[in-house]
Amino acid sequence: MLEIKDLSAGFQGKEIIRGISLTIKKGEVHSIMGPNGSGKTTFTRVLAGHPSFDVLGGEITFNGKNLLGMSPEERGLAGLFISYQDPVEIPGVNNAEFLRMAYNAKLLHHGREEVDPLEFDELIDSKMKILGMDQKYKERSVNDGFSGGEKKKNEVLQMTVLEPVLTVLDEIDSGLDIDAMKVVAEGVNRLMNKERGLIVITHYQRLLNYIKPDFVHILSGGRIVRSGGYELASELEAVGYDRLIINSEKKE
Amino acid sequence: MSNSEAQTEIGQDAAILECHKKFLGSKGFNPILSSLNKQSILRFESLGIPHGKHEMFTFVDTKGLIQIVSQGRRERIGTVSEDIINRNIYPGCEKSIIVIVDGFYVKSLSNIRGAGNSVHVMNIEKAVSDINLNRYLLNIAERESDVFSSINGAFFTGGIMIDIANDTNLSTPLQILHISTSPVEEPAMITPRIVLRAGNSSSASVIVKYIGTAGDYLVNSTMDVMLEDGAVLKLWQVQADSPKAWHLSKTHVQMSRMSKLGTVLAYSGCKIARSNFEVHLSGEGAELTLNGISVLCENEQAHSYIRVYHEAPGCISNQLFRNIVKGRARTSVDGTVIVREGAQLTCSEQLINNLVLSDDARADTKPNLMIYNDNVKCTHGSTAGSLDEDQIFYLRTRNFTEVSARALLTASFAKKVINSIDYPPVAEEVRDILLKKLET
Repeated sequence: MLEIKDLSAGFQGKEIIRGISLTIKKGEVHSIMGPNGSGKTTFTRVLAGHPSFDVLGGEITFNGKNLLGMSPEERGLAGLFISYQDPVEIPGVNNAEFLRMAYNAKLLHHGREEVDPLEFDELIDSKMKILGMDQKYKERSVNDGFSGGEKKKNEVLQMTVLEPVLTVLDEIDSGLDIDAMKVVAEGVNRLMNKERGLIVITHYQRLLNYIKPDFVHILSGGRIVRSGGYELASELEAVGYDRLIINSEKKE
Repeated sequence: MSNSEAQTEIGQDAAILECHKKFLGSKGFNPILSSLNKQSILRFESLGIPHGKHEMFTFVDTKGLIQIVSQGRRERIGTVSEDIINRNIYPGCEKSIIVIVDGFYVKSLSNIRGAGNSVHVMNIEKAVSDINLNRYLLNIAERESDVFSSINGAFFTGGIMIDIANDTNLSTPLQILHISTSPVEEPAMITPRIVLRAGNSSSASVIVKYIGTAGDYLVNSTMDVMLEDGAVLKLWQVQADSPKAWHLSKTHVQMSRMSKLGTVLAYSGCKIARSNFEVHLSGEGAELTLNGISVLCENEQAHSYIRVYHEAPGCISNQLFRNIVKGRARTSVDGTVIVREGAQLTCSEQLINNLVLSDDARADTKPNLMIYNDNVKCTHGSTAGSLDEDQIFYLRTRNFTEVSARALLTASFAKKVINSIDYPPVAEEVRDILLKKLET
C-alpha cells in the first residue's frame, strides 16, 4: 500500500529526515515512536504534501502511484488521511458543512453522486455518536475554540466519515485524557480492516494499549533506528528513549 | 496646497454656487424647500470644496467627484423599464416598494399597499409643512460636516418622507429602490433625499438598494433617520451601482431612548463609493449595531466614514466591518466613536477586518475613540492580511482544491457580516453579488 524508499526531507534548507525506508501493507498497523525533534512531524508533513517541506531524496509510492508527484488534495482523494497534532482553527467555516464538502469531493472523485445536507446529517450523526461528540460541534466553526481533546476527536470524526485507505495519526493522544483516548481509539479501531492501513505516531506507549500495532519503529535523528513488534513499545516504556536509542546504535 | 490647486477649488466653489443660482430660478426648484436648500448652500460655502488632504477624505481622491458635482444636479428623470424594477424587488416586498428614479420619488412605480395604514409615504415638500420636521432638517443642514451632503441639501427636491406610526409592527420589510440612469447631455449628479421616522415602540425593517443603468452617474444621497423612544429598526443598504458610477451617501441617525438600530452596509463598489454614517445615540439605553461588508475588484473603491456619538447613559454600539479587496481595489474605514461627558456606562466595540487578496490592493483603517468620561467600556481594533496558508493546506488535505479552499475561506470571512442581515432574500442576494465577483 505505502512504500517509502530512502526518503530524506527537510525544512528551510535543513535536512531533518535522513533516509527513511518503510513498507506498510494492507491491514497493518504501524507505530512510529520517537523523542522530540526526531522528525515525526516532518515525516507527516511530507506525507501530506506540505509545500514548506522539501523532499531531498528518495521516493514514496502509494497504491502503486508516485505520492510525491501528487498535490495534497490528490493524496486525500487517493485515500490518504493525516490527523494533525495541532489541527488549525478555521473560524467562520461551519464544521458539518466543511466535512460534507470534503465527503462530497470524495464521492465525486469516485464518480458517485453528492449527498445533500439532510443525508449527510444522518451519516455524521451516527459517527458523532460513536465518538461521544455533542451535536453542537456540527454547528461550530472548524476547530474554532475547541479544546485540545475536542480537536483530536474532530480529526477522528473526519477520518471515520472520509474512510481513508491509509490513516496517519500524528500524536492523536496528546491533549486527551484517558477516557477520551479510549473513545478515540475505539473510533480508529472500528475503521480498521484488512483493506486499510494505519500509522500511529506517538511519544508514549499508552495509546498503543488501545490501538495495538503490528510493527513499531523508533525514529531518532531523522532515521528509523530500530523496528520490531509490539513488544518494542513495551521495551521503550521500560528503558526510555535514550537507552533504547544508544543500545540500537551500538548494535548497528 | 499649491496656489493653482487653491484657485481650482475656488473656481469649483464658484461653479457650484453658480449652478445653485440657476437651480433657484429653474422649474425644478420648489419654493417650499427654499429654506432648506438655502441653508445647505450657506453651509457648503462655509465648508468649501475639500482640499486633497482634508481630514474627512484622507483615503478618498475627490478630484473626479468634484468635477461632476460642479456641473450641478440633474433635473430630468430618465426612463426605466418595468423589467429592471421587477428584477430588483426582493421577494416579499412586492407590495411595500418605493421606487426612486434619478433622485425623484415615482409614485406610479411604487406600491406600498402591503404596509397598511401605519406607514405614510409623502413627498418631502408636503412633509416639511410640519414645522418641527422642518426645524429638525434645518438644524442638521446648519451643522452638516460633510460637504457633499450639504450639496445634496442645496439641490434636492422630489425626495420622500416615510413615517412609520407609533406602535406599528411591520411584518414584511419596506424596500426603497434607487435607480440611476445615465442620459447623455445631462449633469451626472442626482440628489436623492429620504427622511425616515420610526415612531415610538414601532418595529420595522427597511432595505435600501442602489442600482443603475450602465454608464457614468453620481448618486449623492442623503438619508435622515429618526428613531423615537423604543423604536426598533433594521436598515440594510445594498450598493450595487454600475461599476462606472460614483456613489456618495450620508446617513444621519438620531436615536431616542431605548431605541435599537441594526444596520448593514453592503458595498459592491464602483469608481468611488463612500458612505458617511453619523449616529447620535441621544436617548438613554439606545443600541446600535453597525456592520459593513465590501468586496472590491479591479479598480473599484469603497470607503466608510463613521461617526458614532454616545450622548446619553447606558447606550451600546457595536461595529464590525469586513472588506475584501483584490486587483487594484481600495477600501477604507475611518471610524470614530465619541463618548460625550455624561454618557456613563457606555459600551462600545469596533472591529475592522480587511482581507487583502493581491499585492496591489489596499485597505486603510483609522479606528479612533474619543472618551470624555470614566465609566465606559470601549474597545476598537483592526486587522489586515491575506488568507492563512495553513488553513488552505489543511483544507487541501481534506479534498478541497486550492481554488475551492480559497473560495471557502474568503466566503467565511464575509459570512459573519452577511449573516447579520436577517432577511434571507437580501442576505442571499448580497452573498451572490459580492462573492460572485471573486470568481472572476
